[in-house]
Amino acid sequence: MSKNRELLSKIGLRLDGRRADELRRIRCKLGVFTEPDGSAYLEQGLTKILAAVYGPHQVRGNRSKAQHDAAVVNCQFSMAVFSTGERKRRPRGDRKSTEISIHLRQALTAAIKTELYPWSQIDVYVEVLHADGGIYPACVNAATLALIDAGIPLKEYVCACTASLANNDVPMLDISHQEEIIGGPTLTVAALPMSGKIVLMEMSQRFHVDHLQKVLEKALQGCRDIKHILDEAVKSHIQDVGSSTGWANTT
Amino acid sequence: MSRIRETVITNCERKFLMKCLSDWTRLDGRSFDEFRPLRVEFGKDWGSCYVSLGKTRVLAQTSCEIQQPKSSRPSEGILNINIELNPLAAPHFEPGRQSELSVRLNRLLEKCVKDSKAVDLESLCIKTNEKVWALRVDINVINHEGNILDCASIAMLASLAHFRRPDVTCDGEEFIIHSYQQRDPIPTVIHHYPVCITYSIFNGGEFVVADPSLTEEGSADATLTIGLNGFKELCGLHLGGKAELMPHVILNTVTKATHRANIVIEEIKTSIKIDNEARTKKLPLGFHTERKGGANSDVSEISLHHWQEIKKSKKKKNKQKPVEPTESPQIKVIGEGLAVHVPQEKPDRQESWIVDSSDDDLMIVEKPREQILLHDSDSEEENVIILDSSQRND
Amino acid sequence: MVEDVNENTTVFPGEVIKDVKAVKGVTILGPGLKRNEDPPNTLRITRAGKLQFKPPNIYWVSHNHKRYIPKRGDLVVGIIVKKAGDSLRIDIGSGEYASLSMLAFEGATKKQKPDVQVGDVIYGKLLNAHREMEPELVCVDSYFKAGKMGPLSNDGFVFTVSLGLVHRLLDPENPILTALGKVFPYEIAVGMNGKVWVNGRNTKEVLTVLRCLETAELHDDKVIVELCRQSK
Repeated sequence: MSKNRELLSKIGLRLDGRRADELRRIRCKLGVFTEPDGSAYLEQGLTKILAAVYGPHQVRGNRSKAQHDAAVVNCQFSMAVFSTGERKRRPRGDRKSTEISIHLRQALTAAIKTELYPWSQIDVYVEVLHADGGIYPACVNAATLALIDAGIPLKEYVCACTASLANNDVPMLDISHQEEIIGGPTLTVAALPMSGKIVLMEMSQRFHVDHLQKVLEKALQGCRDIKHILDEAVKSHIQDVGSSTGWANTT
Repeated sequence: MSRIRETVITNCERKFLMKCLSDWTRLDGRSFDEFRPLRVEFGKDWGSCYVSLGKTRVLAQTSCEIQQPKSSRPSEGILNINIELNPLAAPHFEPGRQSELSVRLNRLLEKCVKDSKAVDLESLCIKTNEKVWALRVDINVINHEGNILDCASIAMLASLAHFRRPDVTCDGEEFIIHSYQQRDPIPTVIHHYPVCITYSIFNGGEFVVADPSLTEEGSADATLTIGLNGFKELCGLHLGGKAELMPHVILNTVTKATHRANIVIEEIKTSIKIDNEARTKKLPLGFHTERKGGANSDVSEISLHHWQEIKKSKKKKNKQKPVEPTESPQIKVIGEGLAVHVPQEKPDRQESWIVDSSDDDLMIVEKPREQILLHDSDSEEENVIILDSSQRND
Repeated sequence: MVEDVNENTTVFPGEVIKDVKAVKGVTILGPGLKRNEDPPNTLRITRAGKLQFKPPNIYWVSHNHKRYIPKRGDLVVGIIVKKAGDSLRIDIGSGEYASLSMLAFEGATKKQKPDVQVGDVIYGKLLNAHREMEPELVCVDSYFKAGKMGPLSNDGFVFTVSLGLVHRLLDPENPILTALGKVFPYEIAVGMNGKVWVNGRNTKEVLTVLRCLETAELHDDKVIVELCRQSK
């Protein structure tokens, strides 16, 4: 556990100068592409994500996948070959990417009101431009923004956040790549922040069961914080779009 | 032949399951926190392990070879985990293709064992930057009756713990791998034993059911898999499915799982100990030694037992004696380690195809008018052939 | 080689029956038997099982199968897997899905279709079962009456048993269902395809029937009857 000490210094600062419960800077923009029905760009620290949404449209490809009572959410996660320190051999198809795709679909399906679109499909494409830790949560957040931009009905936002445990005691929020390498467990939570419900949870490495509660609470707190940041972005985007048509000024 | 698909879970199965759960019972008579019987057996080879959890069966085999280490970790051995879902286990598994399920299972097992650093990889190093042992665990699912993951994780761990690699010595430049006869093989160093424990969650967290069966798995809202070791440390956690859960449900379930993890780890350790004792005593090894009797004999007793239990609770009468299955199939021992399953001949009962009209008011079966259903020349297989036995010349 | 044709003789593929009984030179063969050319007028077994003979001239091999082969006139329990326009696709456990027209229910018209969902269970009759065509189900008889056929209530439970057990259960002389019925009332639909639908007053009783049939799979009828008698 000697390595773990470095995660949080004595005065409570992390490697990149953040406090334990501080998020990395999130910058985001909706409607970055013209072609897709919805798109978004999100920066969380140095992690940069592009997301595009198409649909709902008729089920393409394998027709038998269509469901009679809900829309099929199709997610594709890929990492640009230049996104990591070592050049990646292929952008998708390995087990980790497939896993992220599956998890992304799970989180988004929980948030989208799929029952409104039977026999149809919603495509979500996510591309990582720069990976610097917390890829999955950043993807979920970017995809949420893209879904909002596409005007797909959502139950509420779905936000994701990571949390870790420093010095075997202090929970930390929003883990960067550096902190991931040093070690320490990572708990990823995707939640509907308003109702506080968890739609996906995942963890790696190990820590004692007793710590789970506080780490989980910290991660949920992070989801709520992210929701506020996204809210702002959506609000300004709506006003932007509205100002061009003129209706935003009438209110 | 058309593509074989996963059987649909019917609405009535779903509804009935929910009704059962609200009565606090389960389809197979278990309580909510009860797991199916677990059995861990070892084969003749080191690292060959067979685990059955109820009717779910998994075979794991650990093997090793010498490889060059990864450049990022020059002094660490390599551990590969591969789970194979072949059509042997369930008709909708496709051979050779990475399905979503197999990716998910694989990643969870990797997280459970690799990320939690359960295996001491540094001890697998032979020479830094040149040669390390690469361990590979192949997990084959033989029968899928729900909860493959628990079964696979137990099999993987037992196989790793049981496995021994040959000793290697170095004289200058040459590496010599000693055979098992020359030098005692070396066991793998395992720091802690992480096992996966799976729960199915129904109705947004109202019902949490341990060790789900196939039907339960299919109709559950979500599955919560918890990786735990003997020191109550979480070694991986996964919540999948479409449920929206409140955090306290997860925390409660994790607390419940700690108890189970200890039992499972204890079971793995004792079965390894028993196997080791058998090896030192030079008893016959292998899978056939433990199983006596046919595959069905144990199953029949279980179901009978459960049935009686239900009867008792219903009627609140305790006077019935355990019924000896007098007409049950017999098992004849042919030779060492071999037995046959001989069904009892039942000459008194004539097997009839014909559904005759009857006075039975219980059956709501439509009574077919035709007495013989054999006259069906357009059926797929059951052709009727009229054999003319009269010779031409008479 | 089986010389003496007895009922309940265990036979194996490739065996030959020599002494074939016939009426007016005609013998009727069921599944598991083929006519043999050499020597002529003998039968060759193609399936392992018990040789059955029904006087005067019907032969077949009975065996406890798991795979169901659709046969015309069979009453089956099926699961709706897909709704496509006016027809339903039904899983009856055979190699191919069966089709069932929405109009093949009692009282159904173009405008008034039965209210069935994917995943519902129906009890119907096989109208057509040809090896080259997809099986076709109906839920009405030739007088357009449903009788007992049609959608089964979603309150029950569906499970699969072996075909051998189905044949046993549907034997009117078989005591299992009657004996159970004396313990408590229940409703059951046994399909020739091995799928069984059960409903009872409460879950416990349904589970008891389920457990009982599971036990019957491996034990003789007498065991079940004895158990029922004791629990009364």
